[in-house]
Amino acid sequence: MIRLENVTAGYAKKRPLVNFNARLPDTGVAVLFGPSGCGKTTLLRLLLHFGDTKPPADAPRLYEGRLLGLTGKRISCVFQEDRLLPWRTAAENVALVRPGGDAAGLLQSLGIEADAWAAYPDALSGGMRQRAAIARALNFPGDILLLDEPFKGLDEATRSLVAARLRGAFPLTVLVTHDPGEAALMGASWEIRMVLGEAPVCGPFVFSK
Amino acid sequence: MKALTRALRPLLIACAWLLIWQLAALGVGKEVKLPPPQRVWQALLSLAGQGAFWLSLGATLGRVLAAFLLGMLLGGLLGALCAFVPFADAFLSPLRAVVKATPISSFIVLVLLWLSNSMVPLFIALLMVVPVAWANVQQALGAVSPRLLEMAYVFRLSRRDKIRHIYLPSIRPQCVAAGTTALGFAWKSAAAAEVLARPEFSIGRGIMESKIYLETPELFAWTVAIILLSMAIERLMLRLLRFGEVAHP
Repeated sequence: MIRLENVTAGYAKKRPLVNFNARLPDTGVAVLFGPSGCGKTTLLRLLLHFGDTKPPADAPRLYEGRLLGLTGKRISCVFQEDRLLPWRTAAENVALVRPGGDAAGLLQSLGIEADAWAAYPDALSGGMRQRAAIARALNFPGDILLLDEPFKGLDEATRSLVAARLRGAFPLTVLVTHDPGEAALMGASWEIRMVLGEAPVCGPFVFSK
Repeated sequence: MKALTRALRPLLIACAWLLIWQLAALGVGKEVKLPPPQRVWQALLSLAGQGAFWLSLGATLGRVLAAFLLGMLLGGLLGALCAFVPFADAFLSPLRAVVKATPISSFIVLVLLWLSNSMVPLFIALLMVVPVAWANVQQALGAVSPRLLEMAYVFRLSRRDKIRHIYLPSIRPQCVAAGTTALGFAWKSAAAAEVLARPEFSIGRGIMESKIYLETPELFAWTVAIILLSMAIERLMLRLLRFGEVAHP
């Protein structure tokens, strides 16, 4: 179990998380719901940079409380933006995080054909860039995968393909989305429902339309 | 037809400017003040027949290139230091501001007291190149995308990989632009310093001597030589850089 206990976190001028409590299982897919501005991104970045000896200057800081169960875990991530290197090809971007890995195979498994492997990001469509970013996250050997709205810009068929590839790829996956349908597609088993100005609700995820 | 016009256009423009020069020379009417193009051409041909001319070109070119390469390296290192170490920035930035604002003639006269005549132009050109490289590298490093850096951070890229895959490609366009500017500065300042320091073989000495003997066509010929040489070197540099670029526009 990963536990956040009475966590107050954020930045010098703003603390989006105040006295925050939540639990996450060690395995499976946990989904994070909540309106914009409720601290989802802060929470995600807190997990992302936890345990770093020298976090980036703009990373959120843990001011109070405890974060348990994350020590020693390696975290991979699909950011909200693709964050591909514009001067490297799709395949090189994927290989960047693990040289010698099967970058081409990963791209192929996400429906990106061979003729696009050697293309630079600005020559790819938004959906292809997003999938290249997903391939990069899959290529990184980690224990936890954080997904910040990973299905943005993907059509229905591609979503299913990508979700099938992501499911079970890491012991624990944390998905941020507004869409319960996407959570169901990913086979989510746990949810954290964040509400503006109230304590979050944690529990098993049950899909209902 | 279109290709032909495109090829002819620069030639026609060059001819038009030569004509303007010719007319201006006719208008002035005194070769000492403004020699016509064909006199400059003759002077250039007669200079080209002398070994000293080529030695001077070579020596000046050597000084400019040495100053440029050394200056870009030193300026780049200082820029990187100041971009990453706030104290270094606070400590060194007044130095940069002073070097940038000091008139070049003050430096030349001062440096003449310290160094041998042939080293003065090199040092002066170095002083012009360093602040340009320094300021541009520092600024470009500060503008590297924090999102890409966070990505590199999350995926635990080594420092070497961060430099190779993120920092260097990010600052590259600005460095190329700064390099072009700095190279122009290096030529102009080295020539100016040579006029005052007059090392044995140098374009500046040639310029100064043509002035003393009122050989204005020769003065123009030396200047034309500098212009052609600096244009050739700039082209060469840009081509080398493009060659080193990995296929990406």
